[in-house]
Amino acid sequence: MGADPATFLRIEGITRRFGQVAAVDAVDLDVARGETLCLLGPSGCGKSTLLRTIAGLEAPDSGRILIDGEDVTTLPPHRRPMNMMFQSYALFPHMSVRRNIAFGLERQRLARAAIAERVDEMLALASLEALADRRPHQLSGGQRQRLALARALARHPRVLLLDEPLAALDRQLRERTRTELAAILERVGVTCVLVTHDQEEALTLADRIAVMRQGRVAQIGTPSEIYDEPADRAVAELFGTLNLFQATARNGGLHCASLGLSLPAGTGQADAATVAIRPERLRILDGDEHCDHEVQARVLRNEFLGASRLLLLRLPDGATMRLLTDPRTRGEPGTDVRVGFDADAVRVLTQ
Amino acid sequence: MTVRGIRARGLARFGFVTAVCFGYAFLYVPIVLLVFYSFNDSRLVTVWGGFSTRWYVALFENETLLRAALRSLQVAVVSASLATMVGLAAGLALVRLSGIRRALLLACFGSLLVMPDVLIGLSMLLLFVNLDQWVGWSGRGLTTVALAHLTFASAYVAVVVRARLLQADASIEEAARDLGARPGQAFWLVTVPLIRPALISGWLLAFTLSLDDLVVASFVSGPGSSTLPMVIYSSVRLGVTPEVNALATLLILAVTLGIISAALINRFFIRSDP
Repeated sequence: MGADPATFLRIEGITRRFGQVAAVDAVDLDVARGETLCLLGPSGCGKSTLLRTIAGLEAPDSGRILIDGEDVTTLPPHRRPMNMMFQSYALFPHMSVRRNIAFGLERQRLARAAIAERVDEMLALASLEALADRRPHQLSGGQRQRLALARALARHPRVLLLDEPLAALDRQLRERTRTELAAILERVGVTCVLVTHDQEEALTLADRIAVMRQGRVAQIGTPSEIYDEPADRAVAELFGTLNLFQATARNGGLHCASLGLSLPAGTGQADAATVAIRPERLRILDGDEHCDHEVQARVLRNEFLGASRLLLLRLPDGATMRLLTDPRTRGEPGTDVRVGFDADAVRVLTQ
Repeated sequence: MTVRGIRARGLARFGFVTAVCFGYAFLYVPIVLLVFYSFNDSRLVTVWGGFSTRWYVALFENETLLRAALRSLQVAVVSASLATMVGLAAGLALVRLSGIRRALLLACFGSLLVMPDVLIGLSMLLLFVNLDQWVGWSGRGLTTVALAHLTFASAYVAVVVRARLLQADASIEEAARDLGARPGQAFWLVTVPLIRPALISGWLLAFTLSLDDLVVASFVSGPGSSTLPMVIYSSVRLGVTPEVNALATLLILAVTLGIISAALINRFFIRSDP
């Protein structure tokens, strides 16, 4: 990683051990000014520990954290130019909405009028004007979430840290709040590091995603890069259902028996690999339609999902695969269909 | 519903109400009797001789009893306040330490909770006698009683504070730090208000334990520093005078008012409790 001038927040070789286990293991990350970077991974992958280390709530065993070229690694949390939104929101229960937002501004010893003005701005941003004198326990889940965000943004943080910002909300509310959150982040334009285990959140909110596994970054890229070109099988499996087939080396290339598919040399270096196709990249072909690759299959199940239809298919060699398609598609169980897919739908993954 | 069903339910309800009545009676009849007999005109404690407030008048002329009551209140306020501070520190340490250090501290404070009063009193007495020999400090009197009370009461406060801290969200103090509060500010502006109910009830607990203690005080008090329980106990051995009832009634009144006001304060400050 060179000295990219766009880099605003730089994480250099951060390691944090708990006993013998490295929760974060020599992680390097660069975040550009105004960018939203999402740390995605299952629980225990070290993403929250990394976020807490950036905030200064955990001390790294080694490595450096730089903001705009300035080393903040040894600064205590209250002197770092960033603020965090906690997963539990961590609102102050004994203070009103207004006092919660004002807390960080009061610590900066701003003039009273300046504090009041900024608090009003934040109340408007979070649509909480009418609830300014309530206590946190008198707010709904969505209102608390917005209060936590407003409190974290009040001090004009140079980097905003979000720890699972939507995890505490129920499913229905989550989608709407996610849209609101994306809109607020865009309006404020703050550099943002977001931690989540939810791939939809990552795909919709992030400019770039860093997939973490066992304390390391497994892959980093834009949402579409990560989704379409996963580095390995584990990354691919993070995002939805995937059809996986064994492939073996043959004639310098790879051969996948289930799909009757031969891939040229250079697509896989190993003796054996996994071939992956996403269910939405498969199509059922009508009489005269043709595709790069075609395969015969028998419909086992046909599930109507409302906005789409999921077909469970059996291939000639007995392997099964899933196909996600238009809800109007026919395909009665027991009938044979011709399934086609484009060459760029096929991904060869290492284990 | 069948007649038998209704009867069975009625019986169950009757049984439940009876049990509740007995329970409350067991708790409160002695206290009601005590209050009742404090207004007894007769010199004999158990024989009703008509309504009178003469024992209240006599009480305010009984200097021994009043002095002892004042002494006990003094000791209780001082030891409860100090015990709240020590208990707060210990409670925080119990939550923040880990491994062997927490285990040791927990054992230290836990053992104080289960140690018989006689042993606490005896060991404290030995300590004070030794201090006298080593450094020539012989302050036996109210100071030593307060110190002894501080010792065991702080363990109770620590337990209450720890429970409250465990129940609270640890990231709230982190949020304060993240929002620019220095460690001290985060503690006083956020953590202390958060555990205020525990501090209030811990103080009340320590206060009551001190006011109530006969055994430990008997070991460590010095000449001329008998606490109220000691004076009452020694006077009962010579026969109870109704003045003690009057005093007890006043104490019950004070404690009741204290508990009610503590509850109101709690309610007012921490309306946010789930």
